[in-house]
Amino acid sequence: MATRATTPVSRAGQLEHPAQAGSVSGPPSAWDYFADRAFRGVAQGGVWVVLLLLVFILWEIGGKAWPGIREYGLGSLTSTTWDTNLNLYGFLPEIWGTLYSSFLALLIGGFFGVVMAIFLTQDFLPPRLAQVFRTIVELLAAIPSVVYGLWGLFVVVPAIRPVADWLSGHLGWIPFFSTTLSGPGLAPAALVLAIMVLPTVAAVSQDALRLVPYRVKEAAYGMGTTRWEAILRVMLPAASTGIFGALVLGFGRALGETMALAMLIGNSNQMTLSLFSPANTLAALLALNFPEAGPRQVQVLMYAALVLLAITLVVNVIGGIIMALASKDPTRK
Amino acid sequence: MSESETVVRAASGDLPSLRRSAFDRRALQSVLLSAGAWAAAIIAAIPLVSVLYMLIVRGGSRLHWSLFTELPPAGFEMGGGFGNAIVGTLVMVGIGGLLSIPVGILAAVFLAELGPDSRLAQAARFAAKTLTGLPSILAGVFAYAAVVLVTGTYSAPAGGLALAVLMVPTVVLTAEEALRRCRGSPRMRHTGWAARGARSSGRSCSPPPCRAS
Repeated sequence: MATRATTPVSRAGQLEHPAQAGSVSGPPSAWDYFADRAFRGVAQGGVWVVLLLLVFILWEIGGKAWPGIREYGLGSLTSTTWDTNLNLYGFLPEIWGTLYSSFLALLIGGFFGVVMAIFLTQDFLPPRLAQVFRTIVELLAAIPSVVYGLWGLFVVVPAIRPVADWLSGHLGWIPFFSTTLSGPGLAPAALVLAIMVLPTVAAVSQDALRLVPYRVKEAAYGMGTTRWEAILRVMLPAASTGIFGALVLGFGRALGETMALAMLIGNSNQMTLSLFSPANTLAALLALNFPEAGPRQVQVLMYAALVLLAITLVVNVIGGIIMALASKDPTRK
Repeated sequence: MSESETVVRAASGDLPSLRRSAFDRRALQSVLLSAGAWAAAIIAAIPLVSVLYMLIVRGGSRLHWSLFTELPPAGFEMGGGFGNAIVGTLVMVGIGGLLSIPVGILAAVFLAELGPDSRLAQAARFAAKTLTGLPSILAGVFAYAAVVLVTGTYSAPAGGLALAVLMVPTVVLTAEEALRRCRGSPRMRHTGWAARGARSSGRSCSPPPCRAS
C-alpha cells in the first residue's frame, strides 16, 4: 500500500531545514502533495473510464436499439421471417443458430481443450516439449478469425464433404444428418469454432489444474493409483469448478465469434437441427447487414446487437463468478 | 518401511503382489488413456499446421515486396498489393493504442497499488473482465453507434475506438498483474527512499525488473 505522511507538514516546518533543498530526504513539499493528489486523481479517472466504458456501451447500443424494440417488441425475438421489403425483421433463427453452433463447438473444443490441459499439466511431457505444445495452442488463438474462415472454406468443407455425404445418405433418418452438405453450413462452422474455442478452454483449465496442490497428487499416487486414476478421480474433481468455468468462458467466446462464422455458416434464415444445412448467427447477421443497412434496418440490427450483448454478458458474468469461486483453494471445501 | 521388510510382508501375504503387470486392467486403462491424450494433442495441433500450409501454398507464390506497397488491382487485373490495408491497419492500431494504453495503465496502477480493495476497484475489475468477453462485432456496433452515426461517415477514428474498446480490458488486467508481481521489495525499497505515495508506483514500477506488460 502507498504510505502517506501522516503528520501534515507546513511550509514553516520545512523552513526549519533549509539544507534539504534538492535532497531526497525530508518532509514532502507542497508540490509533492499536489503531484501525489494529481496522480491519484488521474489514475482514479482511468478506473472510472474503464467502468463507465461498459455502461456507455450498454447505453449506446440500448439507446440506438430502443426505437426498434418499441416498434417490433418481442415479435422480433419469436419471428422467423427476415424480409426487408415487407419490413419484417425476426431473428429467432439467428438466436438459435448462435446458441446451437456455440454448443456444438463447445462439445468438440471443450473436450480437446480439457484433454490438452491435462496433457500439459500432468507430467506427460518433458518441460521443453510441453512448451512446444503450449506454444501451438497459444498460436491457435493468435490466428485471425478471417484466416480461419478462409481455411474453413478451402480445407474443412472439402475435407468433411465425403463424411457428410455418407452420413446423410445412410443415417438420414437421424435429424442431425437429415440434409446434405451443400457447401457452407453448421458442421464446418462448428468445427472451426471448436478450434477457436480450444485455446481459451485449454488455458483456463490449465490454470485450474495447476491450482490443485502437488501434494494432493502425490497423496493419490501414494495410495497406489495409476496415473489416470489420479487424474480422473482426484485431479479433475478437485479442479472441476475451474474447468467448468473454462467451458462457460469458452462458450461465451464462441457466441461472439464473427468473421469465420459469417464466411462458413451459410447465412440462411432457418432453424434446423441438421448439422449439414446452412444457418445463421447473430454476429454474422450484424457483420453482413450493417454495411448496407437503411436507418430502419439499423434499428433492428441494434436490437439484435443488444440481444447478443445480453446473451454474452450473462454467460461471461456466470463464467466470471464460477472462476471467482474456483480461485479459492480447490482442496478446501 | 525398508525394502527387505516389504519383501517379507509381501511374501507372508500381507500385501498383494507389488509387481506391475503391463496387462493388468488398471495399467492397461492408464496406457490406453495416455495414448488417447497423445492422439488428442496431436489432432489439436493439426489445424495450425494446416492453416499455415494453406496460406503458404495458396499465397506464397504472390509474396513480393510490391504486395506491401501497391494498391489492390482493379477487377480482373493481376498484380498490385494491399499497401492501403497495411497502412490502414497501422493507423487504426495506432489510434486504438493511443486511446487505450494510457487509460489502461493508469487504471491498472490504481487497481494494483492505490486502492486495490476499494469498491471502485472491484467494480472496475469486474467491468474489465466482462469487457474481455465482449464480442468484437459488438465493439464495432458500439463504435458505429457512437461515431459513425454521429459523424455520418465511416472513419479511422471509429475503427480505432472499436479497437480501443477491445484493447482496454487486456491492458488493464495484464498491467495490473505485472504491477502486482513487483509489489514486494522494489516497491518497499522505494518507499524507504522517501518516495511519496502514489508517485512511487510510477517510478519504482517502471524500471526493468517489473516490465512485464
